[in-house]
This record gives sequence, structure tokens and C-alpha cells, in this order.
Amino acid sequence: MGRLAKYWAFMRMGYLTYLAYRFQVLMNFVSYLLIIALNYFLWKAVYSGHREIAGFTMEQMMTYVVIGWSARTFFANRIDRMIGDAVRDGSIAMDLLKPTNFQLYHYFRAFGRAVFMFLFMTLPIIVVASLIFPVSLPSGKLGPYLFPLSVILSFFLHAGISYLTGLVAFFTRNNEGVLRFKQLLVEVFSGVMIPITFFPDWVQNALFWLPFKYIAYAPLRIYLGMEPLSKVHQGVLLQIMWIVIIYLAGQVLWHYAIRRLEIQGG
Amino acid sequence: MPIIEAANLAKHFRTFRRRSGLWGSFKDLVNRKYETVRAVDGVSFAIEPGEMVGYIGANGAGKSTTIKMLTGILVPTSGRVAVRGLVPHRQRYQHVKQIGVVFGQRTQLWWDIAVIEALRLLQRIYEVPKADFEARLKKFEEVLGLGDLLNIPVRKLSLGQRMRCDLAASLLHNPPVLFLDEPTIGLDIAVKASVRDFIREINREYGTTVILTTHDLSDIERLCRRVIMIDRGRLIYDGELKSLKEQAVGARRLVVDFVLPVDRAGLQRALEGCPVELEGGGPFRWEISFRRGQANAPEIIGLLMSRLEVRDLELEEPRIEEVVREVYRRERAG
Repeated sequence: MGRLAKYWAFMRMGYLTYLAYRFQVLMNFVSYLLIIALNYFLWKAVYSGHREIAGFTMEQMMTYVVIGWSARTFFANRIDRMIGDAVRDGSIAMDLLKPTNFQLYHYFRAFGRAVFMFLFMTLPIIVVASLIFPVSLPSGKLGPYLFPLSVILSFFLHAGISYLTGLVAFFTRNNEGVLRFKQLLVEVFSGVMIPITFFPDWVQNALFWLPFKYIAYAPLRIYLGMEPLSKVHQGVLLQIMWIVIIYLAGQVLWHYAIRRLEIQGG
Repeated sequence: MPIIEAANLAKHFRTFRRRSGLWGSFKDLVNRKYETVRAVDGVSFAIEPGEMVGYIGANGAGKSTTIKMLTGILVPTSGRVAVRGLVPHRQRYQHVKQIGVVFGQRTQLWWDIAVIEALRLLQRIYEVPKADFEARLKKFEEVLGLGDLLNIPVRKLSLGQRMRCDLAASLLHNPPVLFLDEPTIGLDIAVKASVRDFIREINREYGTTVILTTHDLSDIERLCRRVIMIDRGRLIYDGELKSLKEQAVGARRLVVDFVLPVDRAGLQRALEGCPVELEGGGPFRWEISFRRGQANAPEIIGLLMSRLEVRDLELEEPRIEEVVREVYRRERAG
């Protein structure tokens, strides 16, 4: 019993909710395969005549694409959209009536969804995609162990960023604009679309100070065994650091957000 | 000692007033005009443990906003509020554990999962011991007739079914205070009755303090001895329902359909000696209003039936807007 059971319950709810939308999940499954195929042909064209670009061989790049997009199904979340919708339609009132930490409630509810996604999206996509495209197994000594841990950390990091984006709705009523902007930042700078090494140096330097690349790029480097051991540890520690910083920022922002809440009428 | 206290409680919203037209929208970008809406404006009351209080007022009077402050959802602009010694918005975590809340227009369950799953989640969220949970669930199942509903996803329930499930959900942790915001809105008469019976039984058995907002006076009549009335954010009545009704609910209305056209003079002649007001209508349908104490329905109906040919008639219960108007009129007069 106690608090742990409570957050376990949120996970369960997140999981059960998605069980109700199996068809939607199937459609997502198909679109992810299409994106991976598209990337495959794109990179094939880019790599023609090159053995290595920006430190990635063609084989590494394909593995990067398949594992990256599959992992995305796991660490993606809808927290920002859910908070935005709840503020707009006033159902936020019902969330506030539950004796819980609002932030952890969202983290764990989304984690339940992530577990569902892992079973019904991530794994099937990896299986199907590796039958079609050349994908290599995790490399290095630590790849197989630290990669899963790192992706779970990616989830909580991304959850934190979404949570902050969601809270914007308390101030602006509508967080659609910020939500789109955040989505763009994450897509581009997490490294899901292209590895960070493809960017100019000054962008790479700037990204060192931002949390985004620890969502996808860092774990994928671990998977590919492209980092020395010391760097792997550093990457995981930086993930944890960012999770803590963003969690605390969420707690502080919440304090101000709740004061701004206006629910008029029913 | 009161279980719920509000002192000079106020909530002001600042709303952005949009100007019309294209030019107006440009002006809005540069220079926004705000205006303050005083949704609740200095309300004070105290409620004792075990009371069932009706919190009434017309639409937009500030009922829901008050409830949202008492439940800790909204932070008051000024004033004090305490429920069992806790300040709702400051001690939200401890506070929400001691209250149950039902909003007629919303659900605390989750749309996509079955009712029983939602209730089990609430059990964990409120940390209710398993034995207590089972016992309460069994009781609610019986009294509210939840049996067949438990395995249906919430989104597939009808309004009445959902409301019964929401009531059960709000009481799983046996809260000493229950807030009901429009619990019977949109329900048919049979469900309304079972919801009211249930609330009365909970109050009697567990001594639960109940605050009920509604704009259906019949809810209040069945459940509450005391009413607090609010209008435009201000408290305008706090006392016994009986005396409010006797004194304030003066005007009742009788709507009559006649077989043959009747003009005003004809109707006045028929009701000679009976102090009534004819409120428009005619020639086939007339609305006749009268005050309690000056005239009564059987007398008027008797006169009409004996002198004119009546096709149909209906006695309307006073609407809350009329009661509010009546309270105002009395305040000005006295």
C-alpha cells in the first residue's frame, strides 16, 4: 500500500487507457514503419559513394534510424497535450481533487502508456524493421545493459519537458503554440531525425548545455557502442541531472501555475 | 465548532475584453482592455458537522466558484476559508483526502476504463484499506444499483448511470464532507429520486456534512433544512428553507389552456375577488400568477372550472430566478 501503490495505479491506468485504442495503435505502427522506410531510402541515397558521414557508417546509420524511431514510440508522451486539454475543458478540476503530486501523476500515467507502447509498438517495430532493413545488435560491453536504462531515463526526461510545456496552458489558456514549438525542438535536437554530429559545431556546442540530445542521441550512441566507457557514464549522469533539474523546475512552476488557474462556470 | 468556514471569501477573475472588428483586433494586440469579474465577492458562512446545506443561486451567481474554492481547486483572491481546520488550496493534499466531490457536469472517473477499474484506482489513490473498500463497494452496489455497470467503460454509461458511479466514487474513502455541484442536472425523475435517497442515507448513517448546489429547488426541498443563497457573488440569504419559502417564495404561476378564446376582461370577471395577476398570453392560454397567503391554487382552479371551459392547466413551481428576485424585493422593502 501507500504511495508506491498509488503511482503503480497511475501506470496501470495509463496502460489500460491505451488498451481501448488498439486500432489507433495499429495505424501508428504502420506509419512508423513508413517513416523508417523513408529514412532508409533517404540515407541510402545520401551514403552513395561515401563510407562514412559525420562519424556514422551506413550500417550504423540504419541501426540508428530503426532503433531511434522505435525508441521514440516508447519515450514519446502526450503529457503536454493532456494538460492543455484539461485546462481548456476544465476537467483539470477533477485532477486537482485527487490526493497526488500532479507532476508524478502525469509522469507515471504516461509511463503506463510507455509500457503499453513498448509491448505493442517498440518491440514489434524493431522485430519487423530488422527483418526488412539491416540492423545490428547493441555493441560494446555496456550497450545491451545501459541502453535500456538510458532509454527509460529518456522517457522521464522527455516527460519533464512535456510537463513544463503543459503547464504553460495555465498561463495562456491555450498551449498549442508552445506545444508545437517544443515538439519541433525535440524532433530536431534530440537527434531522432539526424544525429547531432550532422549539425555545425556551434549548434553542437549549444546543445551540450540543453537537455534535448540526452533524449535520443545519447542513448543511441550507447547502443551503437560509439562512446568510451567514461563518456557513457557521463551521459547517463547528465540524463539524471536533467531529470532532477526539470522535475524541480516543474514543482516551482506549478506553484505559480495553480494561482493562475481560472475555471469559470460548470 | 463549524466544520466549514468561509470569511469574506472572494474570487475575482480578470478577463480580457475583446473589441469587435478587424481594427479592434489590432488594438487588442497592442493595448488589452481587462475587466474584473467578481465571481464571488465577500461571502461568509459557517457550517456545522452533519448539516446538509443547499447552496443556491441562479446560473452564474458564483455557486461553482465557491465550491471550487472550498475544494481547493481555485485559490481565493481574498478572504479566509477552512474545512476541518485545513486551508484547501494550501494544504491541498491532506484536504482532498477528507472531502468527496461530485460535479454533475464532469466525471472523476476515467473515460476509457471500466467503472470497477476506475474505482480500484481510486482505492489506491486514496489509500483505502482493501476490506473497507470491498464493504463500501458492496453497499453502494446495493443502494445505487451499480451491479451491471461495473464492467462497462465510463464513456459508454448514460448520464444517470455515470452519476450513480460518480457518487459511489466520491464516497469510497468515506469523507466527512461531501460537495455536490449540480448532482441531479439532466437526470430523469427516477434517478433523481434514487440519488437523493442515497445522499440522505449517507448523511444519516455516517454523519457526512453535505453541501449541495443546484438550481433545482426540489433537490433542496427533499434534502436540506438550511439554504445559503448567493447572487452575483454576494450572499443574500442564509437560514431555514422553511422561512425562505414561506416569506420569499410568494409568486406561483398557473398556466391555463381554454377551449374557447377568453379576453383579459373576461378572465378578470371570472376570477373576481381573487387577488391574482394576469401575466400575458391569451386568448386560449393565460398565465395567472398569485401570492401565497393571498390566494391559493384550489380556489383559483375552482373558479375557472366553474365559470369557463378549461382544456388543461399546469401549476408551475417557482423558479430559482424568481426566488432570488423575491428575496431582493423583500430586502429593499424591509
